[in-house]
Amino acid sequence: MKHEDTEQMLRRLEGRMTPEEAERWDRRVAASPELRAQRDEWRALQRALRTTVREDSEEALRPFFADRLMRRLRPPAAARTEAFATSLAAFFRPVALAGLLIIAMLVGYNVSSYAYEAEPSTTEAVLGLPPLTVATAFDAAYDPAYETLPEKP
Amino acid sequence: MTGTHPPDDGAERALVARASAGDRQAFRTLVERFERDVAATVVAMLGPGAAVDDVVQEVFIRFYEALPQFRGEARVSTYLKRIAINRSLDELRKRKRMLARFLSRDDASASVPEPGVEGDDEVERRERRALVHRAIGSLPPKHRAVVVLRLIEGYSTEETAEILGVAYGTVLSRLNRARARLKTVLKPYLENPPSEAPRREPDSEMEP
Repeated sequence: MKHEDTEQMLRRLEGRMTPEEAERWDRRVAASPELRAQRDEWRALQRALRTTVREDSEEALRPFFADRLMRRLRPPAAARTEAFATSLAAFFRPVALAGLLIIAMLVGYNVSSYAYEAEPSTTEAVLGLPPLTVATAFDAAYDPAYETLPEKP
Repeated sequence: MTGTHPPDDGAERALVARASAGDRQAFRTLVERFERDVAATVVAMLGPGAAVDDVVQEVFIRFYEALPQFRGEARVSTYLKRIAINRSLDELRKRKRMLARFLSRDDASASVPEPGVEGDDEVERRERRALVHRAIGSLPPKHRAVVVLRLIEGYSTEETAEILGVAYGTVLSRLNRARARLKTVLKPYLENPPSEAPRREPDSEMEP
């Protein structure tokens, strides 16, 4: 059977033709015993298939299908990523705030309690750094309480 | 249900948008709207049996996971059909691998629950259903997909080609070959149709 005839046959069976198309097609079918036989065959086939599938699909799903499905579902990937980011933000926001507060307190303490007599730089004052050089830091005799190396006897 | 395609209305698009934003109730509404439609496709592809419920669940799970990518170019029903056909083809491939040991779709009579006491009509109906599923099961999977979408579901040839990702002519070619095969297997039924005619499809033609 030609593809074009198959298409026309199915469109006619499914009621998709315009009245003019249907009239032309029906005239052609009426004049051809072969097309008539094929039309009856397609119709019987389609009816058998549809009836069977309709009957079987009515009892295909077990009860509470939607309930069971919803229990199996996880949030979509994008939503999962977003939820993860939100929970991270919720955790880190107070941590960051507390950290900033501690830093501010330390800076304030350092600036207000800087006791070295030597002229400190701003950085040394903010960070509370003792007036040390690398060499004195590694000198075992250095005592920060005296700010400078004790005099040798 | 077979042969019917729910219209893609604004409410459906709104449901999809809400479901994409994580609204589970909206997704549930979509499931309830399309579950029977998807089940019909899977039953047609696989035949009746316990696997249908599992495959339909997988179809909706895939749909749920794909929601962020769903742009609404296709109707939800068409999108679901595509997933249902692909999942059914996967299931058929799996069955083919396990065929010798466990499952045989072709033996559809084994899948139809055995009744207790039946009348003649019920026996006839059960035999007819088994025969039809055996006929569909005798088709190669790709031909089966065409028969399901074009002949059973009532999609147009263009829509069927689009869903399956094949050419228009390929759909008709597979359909004609499938018809020849179905005709052979269903010969006993087609030559002796049931005495009481089945219900007529609402979208079928009026007799000329």
